[in-house]
Amino acid sequence: MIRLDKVSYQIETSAGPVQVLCDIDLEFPDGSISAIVGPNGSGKSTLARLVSGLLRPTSGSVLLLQDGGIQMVKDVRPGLDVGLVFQNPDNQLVATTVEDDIAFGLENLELPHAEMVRRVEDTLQLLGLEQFRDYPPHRLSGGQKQKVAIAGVLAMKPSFLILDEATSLLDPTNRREVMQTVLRLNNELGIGIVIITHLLDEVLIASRLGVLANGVLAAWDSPRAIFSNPAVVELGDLVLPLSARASFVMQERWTDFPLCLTPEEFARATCLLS
Amino acid sequence: MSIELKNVDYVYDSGEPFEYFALRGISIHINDGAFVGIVGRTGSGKSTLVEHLNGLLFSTRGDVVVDDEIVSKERTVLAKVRRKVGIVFQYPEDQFFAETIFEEVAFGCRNYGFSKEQVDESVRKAMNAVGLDPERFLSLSPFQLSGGEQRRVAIASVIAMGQKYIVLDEPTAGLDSGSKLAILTELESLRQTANVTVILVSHNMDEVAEFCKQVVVLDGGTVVFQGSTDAFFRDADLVDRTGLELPESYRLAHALKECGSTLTVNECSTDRMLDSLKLCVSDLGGA
Repeated sequence: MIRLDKVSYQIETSAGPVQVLCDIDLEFPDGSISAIVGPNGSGKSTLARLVSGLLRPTSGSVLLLQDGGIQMVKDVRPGLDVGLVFQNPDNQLVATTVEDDIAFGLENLELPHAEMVRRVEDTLQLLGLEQFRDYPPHRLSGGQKQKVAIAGVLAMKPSFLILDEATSLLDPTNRREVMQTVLRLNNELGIGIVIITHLLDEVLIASRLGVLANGVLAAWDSPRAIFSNPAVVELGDLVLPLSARASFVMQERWTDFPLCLTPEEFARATCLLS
Repeated sequence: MSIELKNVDYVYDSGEPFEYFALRGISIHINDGAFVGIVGRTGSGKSTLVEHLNGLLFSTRGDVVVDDEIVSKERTVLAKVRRKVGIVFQYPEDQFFAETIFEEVAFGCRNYGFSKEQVDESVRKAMNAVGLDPERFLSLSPFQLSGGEQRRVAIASVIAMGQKYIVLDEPTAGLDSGSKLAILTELESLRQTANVTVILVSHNMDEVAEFCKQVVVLDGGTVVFQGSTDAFFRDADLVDRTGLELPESYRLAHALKECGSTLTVNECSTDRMLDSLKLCVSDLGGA
């Protein structure tokens, strides 16, 4: 489990100190899927960097709790314990071929060569990148690069994977595929997932949704509970799914009409009416 | 006046081991004052295509015509074309280099030889167009802004040059919903007031349905559809085959039909859908 205890983060600017995050208390249980939303500038990416150990909090602590008989508490090791995929893949692709890029993190882990080859192979396959193995990453499209960036982090088999809008350049089909892969990793390997996103369908796969606003955790609840709370929806700059807005129209006439988050739910609910 | 591509091919690294046909036989026509979406799966050729529109790439075969001028490597032609077509790249804020936002946004205008007054005016107008108050922002460093604000500054730096065609490659990727809507609404109003043609590359089908009247759909480097956005989204099979998804309004209308609901809704836009649903519900109420 990753635990954030009263985590604050402050930066110095020419205009004085700015509080980016303030007293964040959060727990990401092992093997869970969580999502974090909030307007641009609310501190989401800073939170991702703190959770993955790339930044140290100004005050408070980020802890990784692992149980093996005795609960061990230690500082997060970037990459190995918590893997972070950035928004813009150009910020994390380093090698001259896709294969080498995926191997880069593994080399730093000093894995035996055979193990490295196996993991690169598995990851290429997992993300459907086999055909691009010898390609220079800069020759790939934005979305393909995003897949390579995700692959490089997945190959290290972190116990937590943080996706900081890591699918923003992917087309809908590829995004669904990547998200399905992520779900599979969660399911089969028990990797904990934290998704930072503005995309509704990515929010809906999470069991817990955190809403950041102005550096403060404004809510931490199930997506359905959050979408039912107009004040939080506004704070988090969440767009209500059209199906939810349609549900509100229905509720004006049928007060017990349920809050639906997908078109399919909405259609089912309307058919139950007649 | 328009942008036209006539049978355009583009091959990366022609004749080399990594030779790759990115575009094949592309013919499209974009009218003045249009708001056109360019969609297609990752790697279908969208970014390659738009880089042809102002001579960043030159077609391997076929012609790119901007307002009757065939785009070529000739300096005078290129200068003319680039004066007309501006491109906002993916994650444009990564190209920031100036110390203040004013310097950042003014850079392009100065390159075009605007006078000091013209630069001042264009920068202010562009900042207003993207919803950033010039008084508050111009003296700040672009690096101290949030992602959404940075994106808007990057877009302003292209808008400021006053080109008549503005191409945006995924301008809303990674932005919050408020910034997304604001940017697209500003572009739409720029189109209406200044007759700017907006060419939007996007993976977000909800925003394409909402803002683009026409759409060009690419798959494997070829055009598989061009025409009205509504006609495209009504062809659910084609949408699926091209690796895209239906906007939520179309999915909702579809789901209602599937389960035999008596509610019929107009799926063209979210507002129309909600309005038609309200009408439907009040009709039922009267019955």
